[in-house]
Amino acid sequence: MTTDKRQNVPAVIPHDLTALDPQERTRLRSQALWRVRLRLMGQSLRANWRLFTENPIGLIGVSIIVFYGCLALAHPLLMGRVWPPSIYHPVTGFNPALAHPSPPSAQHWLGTDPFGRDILSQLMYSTASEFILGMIAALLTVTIGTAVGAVAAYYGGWVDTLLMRLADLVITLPSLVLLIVLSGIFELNLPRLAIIIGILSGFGGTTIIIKSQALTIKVRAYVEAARVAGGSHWHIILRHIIPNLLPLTFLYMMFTVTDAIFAEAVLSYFGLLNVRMSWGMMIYTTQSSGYLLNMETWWLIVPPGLSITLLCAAFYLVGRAMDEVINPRLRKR
Amino acid sequence: MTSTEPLVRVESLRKLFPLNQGLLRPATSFIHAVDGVSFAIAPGKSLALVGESGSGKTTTGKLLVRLLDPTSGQVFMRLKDTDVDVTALKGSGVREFRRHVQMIFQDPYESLNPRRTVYDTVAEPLHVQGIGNVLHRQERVAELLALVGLTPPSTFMFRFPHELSGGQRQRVAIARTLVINPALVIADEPTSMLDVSIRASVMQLMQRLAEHLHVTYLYITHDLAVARYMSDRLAVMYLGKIVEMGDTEEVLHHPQHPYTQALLSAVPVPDPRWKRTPIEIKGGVSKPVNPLPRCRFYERCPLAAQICTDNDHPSLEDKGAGHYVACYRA
Amino acid sequence: MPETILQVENLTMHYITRAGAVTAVDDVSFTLTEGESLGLVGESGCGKTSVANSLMKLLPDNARIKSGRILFKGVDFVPLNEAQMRPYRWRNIAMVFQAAMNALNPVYRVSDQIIEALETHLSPYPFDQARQRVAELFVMVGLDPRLMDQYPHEYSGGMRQRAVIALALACNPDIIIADEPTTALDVIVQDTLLRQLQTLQARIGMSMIYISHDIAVIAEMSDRIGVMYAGKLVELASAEEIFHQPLHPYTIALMSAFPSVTGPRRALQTLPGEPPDLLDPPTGCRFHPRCLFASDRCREQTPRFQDYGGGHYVACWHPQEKRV
Repeated sequence: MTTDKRQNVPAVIPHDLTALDPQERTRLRSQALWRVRLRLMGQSLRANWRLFTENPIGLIGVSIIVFYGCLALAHPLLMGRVWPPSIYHPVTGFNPALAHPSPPSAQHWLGTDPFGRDILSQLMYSTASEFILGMIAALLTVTIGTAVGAVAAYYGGWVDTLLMRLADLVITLPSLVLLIVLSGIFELNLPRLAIIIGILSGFGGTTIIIKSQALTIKVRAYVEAARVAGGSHWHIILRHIIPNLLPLTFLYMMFTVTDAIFAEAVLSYFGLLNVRMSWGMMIYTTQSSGYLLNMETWWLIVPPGLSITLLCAAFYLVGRAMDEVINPRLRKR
Repeated sequence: MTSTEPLVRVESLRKLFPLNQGLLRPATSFIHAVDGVSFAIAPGKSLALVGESGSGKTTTGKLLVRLLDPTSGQVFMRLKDTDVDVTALKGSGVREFRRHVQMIFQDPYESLNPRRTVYDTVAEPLHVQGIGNVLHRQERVAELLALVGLTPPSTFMFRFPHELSGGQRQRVAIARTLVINPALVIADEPTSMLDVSIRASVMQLMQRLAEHLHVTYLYITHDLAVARYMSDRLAVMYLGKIVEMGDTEEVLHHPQHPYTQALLSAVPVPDPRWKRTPIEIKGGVSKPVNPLPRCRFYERCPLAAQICTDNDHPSLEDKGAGHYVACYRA
Repeated sequence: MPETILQVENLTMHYITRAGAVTAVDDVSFTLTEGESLGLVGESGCGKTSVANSLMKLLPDNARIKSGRILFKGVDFVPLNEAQMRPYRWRNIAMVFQAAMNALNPVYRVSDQIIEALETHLSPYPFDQARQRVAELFVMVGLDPRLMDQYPHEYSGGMRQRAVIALALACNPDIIIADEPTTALDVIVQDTLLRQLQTLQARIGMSMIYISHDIAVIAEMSDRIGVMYAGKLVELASAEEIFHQPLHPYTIALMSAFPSVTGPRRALQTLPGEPPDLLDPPTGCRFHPRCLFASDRCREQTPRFQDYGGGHYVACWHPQEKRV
């Protein structure tokens, strides 16, 4: 096993310095570099997974995410085969046989909304867009945050000052208020919302945190060694700084997903988002039909509200569990 | 190398760090980390830079390797039979220069990127200098690993730093340094963070490699015993200046500068029978901030006299057989 | 005849980690008499700091003293709980930690920290008497008493280390354990500090356990020396005997691996291999994989720590007698 680090075998100090023996040479040639790297990546993923699952909160978070993922995937299957679209379509469906909103029944597991549409169908349909929203926003944040943070840290000087003042500006803007204002200027739909949140997050708080991490990496001896070897600026940024930043950026990605889902809910609640169906829209429908504070029609508000809470919490829990993997000091000995 | 020209010639090297620089206001306070240092290294004859913390030895090493740019002064290196002014190089000239000078760092835990394999680390100089293709590099790395005692190379090539011990990591660092066949290697306290029983084998390895690969060392250390073992010539630094320089055995057995004498008398001797008589000097080493134009050692020197404070820091004088001392009272 | 003040018998301590139990101190026995200075030397991971922590019972949560006795003037520390141990700490046995900054709280003045120690361990302690004591201590360790109200960051490295020594001496302990107190210091500062420690020890008559990896410092500071390797005490004798008549191959190797400034320039002897992984140490004698004189017996049986003659203890099947 190559990871065996038992020291009972003394390291041999060559008494005469000869070149490689032929057996070693053939052994080397048989190992393709990319294959080795793939194997090593697999090993480190497995080790990280083990660390991740030691803490139950990570597993809980992942389970919730997987559960909602299954919901999203199940919806198109159900729509085609089991559910007749005229009744169960999340936007246009209508069940003429019942008074609406109707409580949960065998036909409608989570009941129907004031317009006669099946709640469960709405929930499942929206899950997919919530995920996509979160992912796009998160990916944008990661890309922008890493690039900006690494460059600001590496080059310093006025580049750094400019980018950090920009980040300060972005942070001081209350994001929800900004989004509300933007919705008045142009039409906001889910993709646009994802992009805006991604950009705001990327240039804002994430950048500052990533930049300070990049600063600690920049002064490490191995970066100096790379410079002494003749490494260009790009070599150092791409091969040394960014790979050591990635764990942190993935962590903050989780938190961005939470922000995105929550922002969508708030904007939809105010009716500012142009989206056909989402969890926020479900709450908006409840409110605009006057059923918001009605305790009896709990099935209108509990499913979307609970889903938002659960999914946000799930991503946060995953983030916390990842923190323990990334930051060895948090682990129990 | 049969040339009698020095491999490296350093002339009046100075490095000042500003202390109170504002956005619009130039600095008025400077740390004189390296304050007019001149020396030469002959090919094959290692030089040790010895000093306590704050003496400027590490900064000098970094200046030689151009991790820092000097405030003034020049460094000349003999590359391909011509003297090249290293301090004036720019751009691709610097990269070319880096093929000839490399550095070993003090901390074996910090000088290797934890996310890169041993192969990546040792092959990095080859990679950034554009030498060879992937297959050649693998062979070259394996050769170097065998050379530094990490055998069989195929076992060590794809390990990560956290799977290696301190001594093994330092060997990887040495392998990385030598992979492009430099003429000069700056070793910045490479054994001070290693265990005692490993230190000796790493030092021995470095010596053998120096002979075999025709590498000259600039050995930076605070430990006089290690300097004695690793180098032919010795230079003692204090607050950014060289106060004594000469053949190692000569300087250690006949020190002429009061600081060198005090330093030697303070080194503990591993023999309970030996009665050491340390030379008392007052105070502690401080940072050389805006030093006064007098001998830098004046405040602590047991031989301090009026002449030492009336004139600026004494220059190095040849006291015979290449033994230089910077003292008015020696 | 000086009294035995500390007697450690078969002390074994282990850490419980995720990967298994690591025996950091394995069956260690030694004694300390009044006014004596005992040096514990060994490389990183040999257990010397663990021994110190065990003596003070300053162990992290996952560490346990498995067996053995620590007899301080006849009282066994091992079965004592926190509350029972507290009266002894600092008053009878104190520690100078490695890395002074870890021992000094950066947000409190140095004088206040020493006064706090006095008030905690020797209460009641009137305030003005406490301040006077701090001034006394400062003079004892070679610090200017006028600086006592400054903060730790205003001190230089050497001064901080002296402050930590003053803190340890505050309650006039019988034993001081100094754990690598001069590692981070420059040679000249180290020398001054060591001489100060020696003068202090002679004046107050306290016992000292000096822990270091630097055999030169140990040679100068100790009356007796214990050599540790991989959690075990492999040799224990007077300083003179350890340096001029070492018996254990590891001790011999350690002496030869140190370059010296004075004396003839000789070749260094290297020791192959690395210190063992304590999670899975070698069978029998822990040193056998690196030992030039190892035999089959060394691989199979753990040598006993025995008196070879005249108070010179070794744990080896083939103690090397012919030495200069």
